Amino acid sequence: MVSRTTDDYQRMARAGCVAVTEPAFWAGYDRGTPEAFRDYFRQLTVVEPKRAARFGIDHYCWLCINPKEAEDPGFAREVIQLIPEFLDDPQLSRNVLGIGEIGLNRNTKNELLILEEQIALAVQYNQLILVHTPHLEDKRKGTKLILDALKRNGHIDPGRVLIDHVEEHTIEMVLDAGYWAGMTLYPDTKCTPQRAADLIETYGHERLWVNSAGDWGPSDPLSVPKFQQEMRGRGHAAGVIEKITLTNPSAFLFQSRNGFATQ
Amino acid sequence: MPAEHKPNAPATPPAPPYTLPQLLDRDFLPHRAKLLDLAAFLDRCDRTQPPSPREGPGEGAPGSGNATTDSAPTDPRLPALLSAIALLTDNHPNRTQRILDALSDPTTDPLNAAPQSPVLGVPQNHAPLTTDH
Repeated sequence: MVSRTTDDYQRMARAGCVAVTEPAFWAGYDRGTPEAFRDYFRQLTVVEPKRAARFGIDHYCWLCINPKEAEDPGFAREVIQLIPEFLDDPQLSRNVLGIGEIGLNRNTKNELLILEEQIALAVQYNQLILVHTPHLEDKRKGTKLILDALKRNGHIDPGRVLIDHVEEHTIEMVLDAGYWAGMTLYPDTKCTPQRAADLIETYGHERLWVNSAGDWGPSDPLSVPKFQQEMRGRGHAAGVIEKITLTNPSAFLFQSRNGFATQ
Repeated sequence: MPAEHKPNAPATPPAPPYTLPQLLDRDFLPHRAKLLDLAAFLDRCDRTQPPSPREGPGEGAPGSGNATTDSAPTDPRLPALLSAIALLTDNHPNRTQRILDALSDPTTDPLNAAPQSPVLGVPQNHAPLTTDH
């Protein structure tokens, strides 16, 4: 929510949102120094929880260098070296759910190298993993490369990994491999509330959840309530809707080493 | 037409809690409007000026002059879109997945470096779709 206004927190609280899980992501520009990431990680671990708490919302975050800024391995490694100081500090790690959103952007060898090193960091610190899959024409290929990288590590429990941004052509390979699949909802591009409801109807309710995109581009933090409205409009039972939007996310996030508790 | 069973889906996927008439009553008009939006976009492509010599894919070069017969050969977006539209009416299920597959990079190896060109939403070397399933 670092790129959203406080009004968004207010609207989310009014719509029934009880918790936010914010990944470390690309901020719309490439940061110039590793120190800029230290400031960003403090924003995620210190500033945003206080801002969200004003509206009764619990704030949690994920830490990493995102794949879009991972093309320079030397730079990326300097950022990765900052992460343990946040994981090792009991105060700073209180709202950290794990390592994410790691993944691929343009499916390059350097991005893959840094992905593998961040997977290893997550294993070393027994952290949950949140994976970002590439956009548009790069998504299918990138999702396959990511699943291969996770498998190569050899120490990954698929039940502790959420592969996000699945769509109709990638959801099956993610679920078949035992991972959780996330559908981040956008108003126009990527997965809409309507298509997410279609995927639920096709693939069932297990290891699947939806979340609202709340980034610097066109996105809508109230996408989850709109998904709930779409499901209700189609006649789905309240229990199914709650499972996808609350019970499933909670079941996954309760595995976090640092603790996760919704109101 | 029957829905195709997905391998990972529940063995017997429950039918959704709505009938076709109910779905049409609820969602037909918005999708009629989306169809007209798509048609109007193609008409708009037809009306565009020829691109300047310096314009290339991803640099704001939508112009084809004629969307249906005279697409700019260097920009794969419009041909890919027109090919994908054909999948809507081929009477086979899983249209969304098949369109996404058709618009995906078909290669499998990681790249040596990030491409200078932006993501376009279609493979950089779009090949026309076949109708063979």
